[in-house]
Formats: sequence, structure tokens, C-alpha cells
Amino acid sequence: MFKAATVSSGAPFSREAGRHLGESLVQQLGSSPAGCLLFCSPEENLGEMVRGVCEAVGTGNVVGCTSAGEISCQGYSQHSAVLGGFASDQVDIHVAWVNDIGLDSERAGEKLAEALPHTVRFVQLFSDALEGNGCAVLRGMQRVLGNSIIIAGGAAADNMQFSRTLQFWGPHIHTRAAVAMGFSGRFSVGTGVCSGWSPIGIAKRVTRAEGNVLYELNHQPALDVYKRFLGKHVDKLPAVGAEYALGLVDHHGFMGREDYCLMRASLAVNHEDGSIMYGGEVPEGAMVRFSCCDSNSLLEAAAEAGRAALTDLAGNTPVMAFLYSCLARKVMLGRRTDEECRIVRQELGQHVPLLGFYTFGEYGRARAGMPSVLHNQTAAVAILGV
Amino acid sequence: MGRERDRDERNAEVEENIELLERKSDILTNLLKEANAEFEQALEKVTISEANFRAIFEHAPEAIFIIELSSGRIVDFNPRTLDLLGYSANELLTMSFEDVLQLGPDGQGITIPGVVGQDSIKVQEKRLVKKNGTVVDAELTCTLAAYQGKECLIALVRDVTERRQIEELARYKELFESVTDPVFISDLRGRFLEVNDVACDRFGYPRSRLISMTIRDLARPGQLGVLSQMAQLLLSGKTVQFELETSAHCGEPALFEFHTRPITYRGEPAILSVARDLSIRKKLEHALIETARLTAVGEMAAGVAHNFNNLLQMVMGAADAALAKLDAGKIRECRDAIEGILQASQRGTEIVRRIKDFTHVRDDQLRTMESADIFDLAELAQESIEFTKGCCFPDSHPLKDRITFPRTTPTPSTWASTPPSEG
Repeated sequence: MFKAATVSSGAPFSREAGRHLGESLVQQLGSSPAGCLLFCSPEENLGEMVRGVCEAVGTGNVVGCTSAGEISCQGYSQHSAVLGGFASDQVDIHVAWVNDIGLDSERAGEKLAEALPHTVRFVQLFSDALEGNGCAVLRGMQRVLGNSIIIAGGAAADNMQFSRTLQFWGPHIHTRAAVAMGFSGRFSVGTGVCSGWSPIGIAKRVTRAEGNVLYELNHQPALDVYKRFLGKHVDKLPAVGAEYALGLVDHHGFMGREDYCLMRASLAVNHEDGSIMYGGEVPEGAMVRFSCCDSNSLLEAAAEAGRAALTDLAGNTPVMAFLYSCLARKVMLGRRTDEECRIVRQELGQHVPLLGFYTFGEYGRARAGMPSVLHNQTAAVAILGV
Repeated sequence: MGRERDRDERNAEVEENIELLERKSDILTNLLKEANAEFEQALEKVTISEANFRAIFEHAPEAIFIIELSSGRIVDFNPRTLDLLGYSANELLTMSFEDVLQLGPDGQGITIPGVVGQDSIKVQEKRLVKKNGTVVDAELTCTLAAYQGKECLIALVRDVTERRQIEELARYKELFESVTDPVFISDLRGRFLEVNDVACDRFGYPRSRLISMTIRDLARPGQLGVLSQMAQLLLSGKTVQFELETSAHCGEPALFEFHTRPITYRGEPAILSVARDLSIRKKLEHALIETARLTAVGEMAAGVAHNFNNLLQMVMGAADAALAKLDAGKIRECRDAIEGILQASQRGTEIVRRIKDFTHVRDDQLRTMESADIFDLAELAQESIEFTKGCCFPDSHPLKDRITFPRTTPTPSTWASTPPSEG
């Protein structure tokens, strides 16, 4: 038996609103959930709302984070909270969290994984992207759980403010933290990722980089390369950098599909040293290309991600789906953002509960057999099946 | 109000889209500029690279041929090729690569596929024919490559003629030093130009000293006639073989058999001599003769011993009889017995004479014989008696110690001509 449901609320955050949200979920499930995922806008009284949810659902296995737009069966929403839950006698839920991931993100990832039982086969991870290095957290987790562990999720967001994101487990709310929900038992997982950005221009080699900061391309300051590429629009960096994102095209990022690159979105520009900070690591030695997109290609990519996840599920019945999509996509889609949720639902089936949010980075596995990585600019779909 | 807001939103969206399109247009222009700049840079790099490769090609110290694979025609070459083969550029361009390859051992031409082989890069040694007909030993490194849109054979040709000569000289040098006989190369006046280590060891001179000597310096006095005679034959181009008595630095004489022939050494006429030390062979021959002689003497001694044994039997029998008759007072019969002894002794004298005839050694010969060649027949006869008397006489016999063979002379001839008076 596996029951899943998602609910959403656009009401102002309060304890009552949270309790009401939780009760709605319990009502849809017909019982208290074994685990819940909560994504919401960083609004006032968020803490009260989270506590209200926890009181209503009757389980401590509640994890979530703030977002830049919420996704549920009701579609895309803003300034809202979405809650998903599962009740099952064949799946066990485990929750873990770790604070201060900015100090040593890789070690934080190890601690997070060590708090989960070794029987875990699927993990939903939500981390602070503004303070910690998501790639390093992922590496730490994979060091403990193995590269084959399927990790989905997203980096917490704060709409477009880029100031502070929040992560919560149970009624506890923290920043600079990472929370994880592990799944063990009898179930299957399908994943698919696709960005819709296409490479343009000539490939360049990353000649100097450190973590997620790119210093040089082809031995020239990264900012100079951007200036030549963007011309007068360079002053709109880093926002315009999301529109013309960087794609890793060689063995560091290319995933064996001609139209797929591991995307990186620019987050900040340092005019002093000409470096640019991205939402994920840019390995030194990698070949990169600028990329561009349009609304149609983004929507088609979301559909492709859904199809790939269904294919990956290998005929098992989908019982719940998760869509983690990049904030940059929301910006690019504008008024058509809602279409992305609807397109994914169409691909997966209207009966499959959908939950997710717009992120500062998406965790996902591009293809079966490959390790999960941190993406930017991408629609990442994960489906639980039985 | 709602309509107006919707209209405003749409207007904002249109403006945003226009801005996006403008940005995209600008960026595409920038991309074109960048691509053009990249192309210019790449073109410059290619030009520099082409110039570098052309410089390498033009100044390569090895000859480089570029040969069209389908026809074997020489389509390009570097200046070193002209120097190597002596053809002009125009001449080479009308030729096939097979034209400059020397025919194979079977008289058949060498084909391009044979040069290329199965491997992508093949290194092999071939002979190229220059315009003047002389031959160049060459090491060919061949590979296939596209050149001016055609499949071509790139052949790097290294002139290894000098290396070959050095290798051949090294082989001869090795042979020269490996033989166990002294080897000399001398000029026509007999002065040594080159000697091997064995020659230095055998004659006891250091190389520097031996090189300053002539063959005459090694020959013993009295051998110059032989040398002059042989020199005449050598100068007429003949190969000669002769024995030469030599003396080493220490003065030790040695007989050598020289095999000598005229050669060309470093472009000059010279004499190559291989000397075989005959001393050992001579000693072996002498030892063989000595062995044969001793065998013959042994056989003769055995015959002498047999005859003397018979005579002794007769002498002893007669002596016993004489003693018995004497004791019995039969003087006449005793005399008969003594006469028997005398007869036996005379027969012994006859045997000795026959031995003399057999040995046939004259006194003048005897004088020239070395001491080792002379054997004492008296001593031999005494040894025979000693050998046989143990068998003939019991220890108590009164004659046992009385029978001796007097050593009147040390030579068989004198012993034979003067038989011992005591029988």
C-alpha cells in the first residue's frame, strides 16, 4: 500500500493556516502520513505555519525549505505553501539534518548521509545554496552512501532576494543547513533531467577555477569573455547570465546526449578580479559553451525530463512525482511558468500527485547508472513508483 | 480595472520580449564577431604553422619525397633530395619514385606497395641510384598521408652509405681481432700498416712498435731470400704460401707458415698476411716419428730378447752339462759342452751383426743424430736379459748373477762391429 497526496495553500502564513494545510493532507491520505515534504515562500510567520503543519500531520518526519515558487497538483503558485505526504506499509521514511554546511560542505554531506540507515535507496535533499556548496554536500553523501544512491531535491531559494534561505525539519527552522529524507523499502525510482538550453558560440576551456568561482576562460579573465559575448548587456550580469547560461560540454558535464550540458547559472560578479560565481562547481579543465533558450525549448525540456523519468521507472506504477525547476526557468518562462507544471503533469498523468518548487539548484540523476549531480537552469523530475 | 491591468501586463511582457530579442540580436552579433576573430586567429595560426612546416621541409637534413600513391609519381621533394640524387627539380618531377630505386636482387623493380608495406609507418633500407649511376645506401621511413587531396607516400630518405661503410669496417675489424693467428697488413715494402693483437702477443712487441717494423725485422737471418722470392710473386698479384723462420722480441725462434695476398687497404695497394705458427705442428710431427721409432725398437727388442733367450737356454744347458762332466772327471765331454757354449755365443754374435744390418745406421749419420735419437743396443740387450733371466734361472742358479751384457760401446753400430768378448 502506498498513498500519496499534495495540498497547497495561498493563505497568509499562521499556525492556523499551517494546521489547516496539515489536516487537509491527512484528510486526503485518510491517515497520518509517514513523511511530509513542505515547500513555501519565505513569508512572514513562516515558523508558525510550519509548526501548525507539524501539529496537524502527527509525524516528526517533516522536512522542507523555502522556495522561489511552489509546485503542486494545483500547478504553480507564489507566496504559498505546498505540502506532500505519503502513507505506506512498504516504504520507510528517515529524516536527517545538518547545520552550518558552509564551514565544510563535504563533511556536512557525510554527516547527513551517516545519519541515514544504509538501507536507504532514495534521498530527497534540500540545502542552503547561498551558504554551502551543493556539489560538495552531494560528494560527501555519495562518499558514504555510494555513487549509485539516487538523490533528488533542490537548493532552497528565497524568491529572487538571494539573501537568506531556510530549511526545516519538524518544527525546527534553520539557515545554512541541509535536510534530507531517505526512503527505504519496496519501491522504485525514475529520474529525468533536461534544461532546454542549447549551446552557442565556440567552446572554451576553463583554465582557472576554484569551486563554483570561475576566474579564467582560455587564460582570459572570465568577465572579459562575458564582456565580449554580452557586449553592452554585460552590466546586467549576473541576471543575464541565467539567460545565457554556461554549459559544461566535455567529460565533466556532457552526459552522452548531444543536446545535454550540465548547466551553470551565474549568481554574482566580482569586478575586481574579473571572476564570476555560479550556482554549482565549474571544474578546472572543463570545456564550456554559452547557451541560450526560449520558452518553447524550456517547456519541451520539462516534458522531456518527465518522459525520461517515466521511462526510467521501467513500467512500475508512478505514485508520486517531484519537480524541481530552476528559478532561471521561471524568470525565462514568465507568464508561461504555470505551463511547465501542467506539461509535466500531462506527461506523468493527472492522477499522480506532483510536488516541487523553483530552486537555486536542482539535484538529480541524468540517466540510470550515473551519479546524481547538482544542476542549474534545469527541470529535474523524480518519480516514486511501486 | 482588470482589463487595464491585463493590458499593462501584456504591454510589459511585450516590452520584455522586445528587450530579450534585442539582447539576443546583440549577442548573436557579438558571437559572429567573436567567431570571425577566432577564425582570423586560427587562420594566422595555420599560416604560421604552414610556414614552420615549410621551413622544416625546406631545411630538413634528410631528403623527403612525396609520392602519389596511385601513380608512383614524385609530386614534391625538398632541396636535400636534389643534393642527394643529383637530379634537377624539373627532372625529378617527371620521374617515378621507382625510377630512383635500385633493382632488387632478382633484377626486378621495386614497387611502391613493396615500399609501403602493411604498417602505417615502415622503416627499411633500400638503395637509390643517383643521376650519375652511383648507388646510395638509404634508410627509408615511409608513411601514408593525404597531400594536396591525394593519397601520397611520404618517404624520408636518410643517406646511410657512410654508416654502412663504418659498419662493414667494424665487422672486418672484429674479424681481424677475433682470429687466433697473427694477421698483418703491410705496404708493398713490407712495412706493417695494421696488425692484430695476436701478432703483438705472439711476437712480443707493443702495437706502436710493431707498426713501425717490417716483415724483415721479424725474419731470422737467412730468410731474406725467401722473402724476396715471395715479394716478387705478390707483386705479380699472386697469393702465396710459405714458411718463414722468425724470432720474437725475446729472441725465441718460431716457424710460421704465411698465407699472403695482395689487397687494397685505405685505397692503396697492400699485402695481407695471416701467419700460422708451425712450432706446435712440428713438435707434433716429431713426437709422432719418435712414437713410431720407439714402437719399432720395442718390436725389435722383443725379437732380440727371444733370440737371446734361446741362446741363453743353450748356454745354460751346455754350462750345466760342462759342470756335471767336469765334476765327473769327464774332461772330453766337458770340452764338448764348452764348445756348445761357444757355438751359442757365435750365434749370438751373428744375431748382433744382423741387428746392425737391420738398423743400418752409419757412423756419419750417427754423428749428426741428436742424443735423443740414439739408443744403446747393449743397454737394450741387457734389459732383455734382465727381463728373461728371471724366467730362465731359479734364484739359486750359480749363473744367474754372472750373466751380463758388457757396455763396451754406447752405440749400436760400435757394439755390433765389436761383439763383447764375454759372449
